Amino acid sequence: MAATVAIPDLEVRALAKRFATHLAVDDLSFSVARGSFFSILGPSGCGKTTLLRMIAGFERPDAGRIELAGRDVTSMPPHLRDTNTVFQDYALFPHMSVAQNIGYGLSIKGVPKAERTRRVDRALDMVRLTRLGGRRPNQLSGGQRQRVALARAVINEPEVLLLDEPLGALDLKLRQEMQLELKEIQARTRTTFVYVTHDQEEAMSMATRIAVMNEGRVEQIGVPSEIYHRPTSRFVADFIGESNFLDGIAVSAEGGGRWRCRAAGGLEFLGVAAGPLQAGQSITAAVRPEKVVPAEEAGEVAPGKSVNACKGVVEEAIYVGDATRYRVGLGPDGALTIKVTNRLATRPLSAGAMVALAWSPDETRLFPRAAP
Amino acid sequence: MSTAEEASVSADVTPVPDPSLASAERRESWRYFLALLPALLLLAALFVYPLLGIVNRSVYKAGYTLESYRQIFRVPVYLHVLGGTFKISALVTLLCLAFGYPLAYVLATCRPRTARLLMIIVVLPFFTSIIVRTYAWMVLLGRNGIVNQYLTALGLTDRPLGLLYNQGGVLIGMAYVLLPYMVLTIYSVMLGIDSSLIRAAHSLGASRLQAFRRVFLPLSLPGIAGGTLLVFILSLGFFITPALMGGPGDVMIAMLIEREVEITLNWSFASALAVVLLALTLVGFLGYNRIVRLERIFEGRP
Repeated sequence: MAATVAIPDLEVRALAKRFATHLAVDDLSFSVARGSFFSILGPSGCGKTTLLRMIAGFERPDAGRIELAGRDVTSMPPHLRDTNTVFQDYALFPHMSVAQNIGYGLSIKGVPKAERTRRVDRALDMVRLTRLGGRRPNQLSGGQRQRVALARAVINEPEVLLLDEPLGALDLKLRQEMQLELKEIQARTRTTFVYVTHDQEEAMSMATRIAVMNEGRVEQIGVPSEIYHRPTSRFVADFIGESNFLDGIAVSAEGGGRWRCRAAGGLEFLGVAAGPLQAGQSITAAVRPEKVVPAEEAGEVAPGKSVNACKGVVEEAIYVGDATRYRVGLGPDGALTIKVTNRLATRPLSAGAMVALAWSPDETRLFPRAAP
Repeated sequence: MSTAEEASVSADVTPVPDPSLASAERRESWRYFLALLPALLLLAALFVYPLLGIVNRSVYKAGYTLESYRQIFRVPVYLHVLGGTFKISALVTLLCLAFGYPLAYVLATCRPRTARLLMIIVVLPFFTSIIVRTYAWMVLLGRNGIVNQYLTALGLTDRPLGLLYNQGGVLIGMAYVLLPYMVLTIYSVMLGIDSSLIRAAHSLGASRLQAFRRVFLPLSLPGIAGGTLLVFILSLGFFITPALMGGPGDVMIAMLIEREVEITLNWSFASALAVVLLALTLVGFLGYNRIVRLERIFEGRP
C-alpha cells in the first residue's frame, strides 16, 4: 500500500464550486494512488457528482487545483484530459453499433482501422460481449449496455477512469454481478478508478479506499474497515452501516484515548474518542447494533476486559432471517437497537422481557456534540 | 419506439396463446378504432371525398376524356412551370435549412430563459396573417423600400436594387414564411438528444467540432429530414407569397391552378394540374423515403 501511495495519480487540492447560493463542493482535498479503486461515497446532493464532473472537466471549479499524473489540468477542457467517464445512464451513442461505440475514442485519436478492430474485439471479449459488436445499443439489456459503456471507456486506457454511479440503474442481482466484474476489470487493467456512489455496500465491497462526502466536504478517507469500525464523525457512523447513538457528557479521561461518559439518565460507560475531548463536554456515543449482545453472551464481548453494561426492557423484536433485531428501552438513557445472529440454539427474547446488555468500550466511538 | 419495444417484449414473453386474451385484445383494438372514428370520418368527408372529386373532374369534361392531361404534357409551359415550382421549392428548402438549423441549434443548447425568448420570436409570425407578412416584406424590399433606402444612403449602391418581383423576392418571402416549420421540426428532434451523449463524446476525446459532427449532427438528421420534407411540400403548393412577390417569370403551379379556376373557369384542367402535382409530390416523397427512411422519423427513432 505504502509503495503505491508514493505516486498519486489524481490529486485534488482545496477544490471549491458554488452554484448560485449553495456551496456544492467546499475546500475539498484528497489524492488517489495509481492503480487503486477509489470510491467517493455520500448521500445524494452531497456534491460527489459535481466533484466528478470537475475532475472530468465538465465543470470548472471556482477555486482549487486538480492534478492528473502530476500535471495541472484544472482549466483543461474535457477532451484533452486523460480521463474517461462512465455515466449512470450509460450515454451510449444510439446511432452507432456496439463496436463503433467502443471504438469511438480510438477513431477520434486516429488509430488505424486494423488495430482499432483488434482492440475493440479484445474489449468485447473482456466485457463478455464477444459476438455482439454489430448490435445497436437499444438491442441490449441494461447489464450489457453497462458493459459496453465500460469497454468504451477502458479501451482508451485513460490515466483515470471516472464512474458516476454506473450501476445505479441495474437491479440488485445484476448490480452484485457487475460489482465483481468491475473489480476484476479494474484489477486486470490496473487503471485508476474513481467511483462515485451513494450505495455504501457497493463502495465497501469494491473500493480499496473510500472518501465519505457530506455537504460538499470530505468527512473521512480510509480503507473500508477503517471507515466502518473507526468512523471519525457522527455523520459517517450514521451513514455507513447502522449505529445507535447515546447522548451524554464526557466525564473523565481514562488514558489511551478512552473516556468515561455519562448518558442523560445516568448510565456510565466507556468509549474511544474520535477526536480531542474535554471533561464536561457534550458527546454522542455511537455503537453498532451487532456489537451489543445480551449479557449471557457477554463473555464474548471482551474476555477479561472491562465492558459496558446496562439493563433494559425488550420493546420490539423483529425477525429478519439471519438475525433478530431487538429494540431495548433503557429508560431515561434512551434505547439501543441490538442485532443478534440467529442460531438454532439461540433462545429468542420476547417483548417485555428484561435483558442485560454488554458491549466493548473499543466499539464505542465518542464524537463531540454541540451542547444542547 | 415504445410500441416497437412493447411488441418485441410481448413477443418474447407470451408464446402461449390464450383465447380469452385474444378476445380481450380484439375488444381493446375495437376501442382504439372507436377513438379514431371521428378523425377518420372527418378525413373521409373533407379530404378523401374532395380528392376523389378532383380526380374525377380532371378526367371529365362533358364526358370522360384525358384531354386535360394531354394538354399538360403537350404544351411546354405547364411542364416548365412544374419544373420551376420544384426548383423554387428546393431552393426555399435549402435556404430554410441553412438558416433554420443553426437557429434550432442555438434554441436547443442555450439556457432555458434565452430559449423561451427566442422561441417566442420564432413563433410570433404565426400570429399574423400571411398576407400581412408578405406585404410587410414588400414594403421592406420595394424599389423605395427600407432596404434600398439604407443601401443607397450607405453608398453601397447608387441605384435601387431589384429585390422584388423576381425569383430572389419569392425565395426571401417564402423562406421567411416557412422558416418556423423548419426550426420547430429540427428543434423538437434536437431537444430529444441527450446532452450526456455530447459529454460522453468529449470525455472520449472528441473536440466540440468532432462531437458535433459525429454525434449531434447524425442524431439531429431525423429533424433535418422531417423539416426539409415539410418545408418542401408546403412550398410546392405555395400561392400567396409568389403571387405577390414574384415576377412574371416566377409562376408556380398553385398560381396556374388558381388562374384556371378563377379566370378561365376550366375546372377540369385545374383538377388535372392538381392531380399531376399530387402525383409528382408522392413520387418525390417515396424517393425521399428510400433515402432517409422516413418511418424512423415517424417513430421518433434516430
